[in-house]
Amino acid sequence: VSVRFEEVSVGDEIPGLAKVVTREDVRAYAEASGDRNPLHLDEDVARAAGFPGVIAHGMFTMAHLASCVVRWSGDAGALRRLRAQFRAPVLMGEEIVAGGSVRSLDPASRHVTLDVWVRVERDGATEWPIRRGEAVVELF
Amino acid sequence: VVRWRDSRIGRSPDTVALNRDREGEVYPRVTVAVDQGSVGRFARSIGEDGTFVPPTWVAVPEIAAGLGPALADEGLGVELARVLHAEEEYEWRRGLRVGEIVSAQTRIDSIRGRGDVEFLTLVTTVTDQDGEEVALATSMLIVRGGSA
Repeated sequence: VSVRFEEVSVGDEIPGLAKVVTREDVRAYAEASGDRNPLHLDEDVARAAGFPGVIAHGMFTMAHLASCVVRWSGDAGALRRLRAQFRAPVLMGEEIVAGGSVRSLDPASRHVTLDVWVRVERDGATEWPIRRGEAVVELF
Repeated sequence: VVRWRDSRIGRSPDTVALNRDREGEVYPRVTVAVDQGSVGRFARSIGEDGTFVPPTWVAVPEIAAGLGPALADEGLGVELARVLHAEEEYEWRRGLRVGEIVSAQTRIDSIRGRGDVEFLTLVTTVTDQDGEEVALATSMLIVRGGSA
């Protein structure tokens, strides 16, 4: 069931979506996407680059964020835009939580603009693999 | 001082030094089938069930058209293990359906240096069989310098 434009208000939070990132997921994403950068696959390469271990693709985290938005809107074809800066690495075994809130509404185009993010709790602090991302969804 | 002078002219043998002359380069168009195999593999890897095409599936034609050829472009000078993804933006005109065939073409939008890192921006247009643009992907990559 798709959300209707009239049901949405500025400030609404969309339901968060959590996922534990596994090595198998990241390996599968590398194969499925074609991005076989060893930073995502090879411990030694990741450590040499200064990370504690292999990291998830930014695009993997972004795909999870898109899933969060699509689950809320109810229609994958309604997503018009998604922008993300990859600000912190995601390590294997960590739980990422995607979320968003409605920033603005345009009745003429029926476009909803959301602030979106992905956070992770690490060593008692919140890190933001994606912070201040933006999504635009076109609703009926 | 040497480093300052080198970075000012955009070349430094001990740092990254992507070839600025490649700005504006357009890589060959690639054709990719939106088939159940590719969509299903991609969907499962991100925890979806494959009953619809995930919007970010466009990474498949995007990488085939852009990152792949950029890494193979000896004149550009990018090494995969030095690449970090800094920023991505997708714009979609519509959702894709299994059974379609899309084509993708990537242009090197800009190459910018800043000390021992450089920023490579690739812009990929994804087009359907009718020649209509269905998605635009802008990918900003960080290419790190150093000997690591």
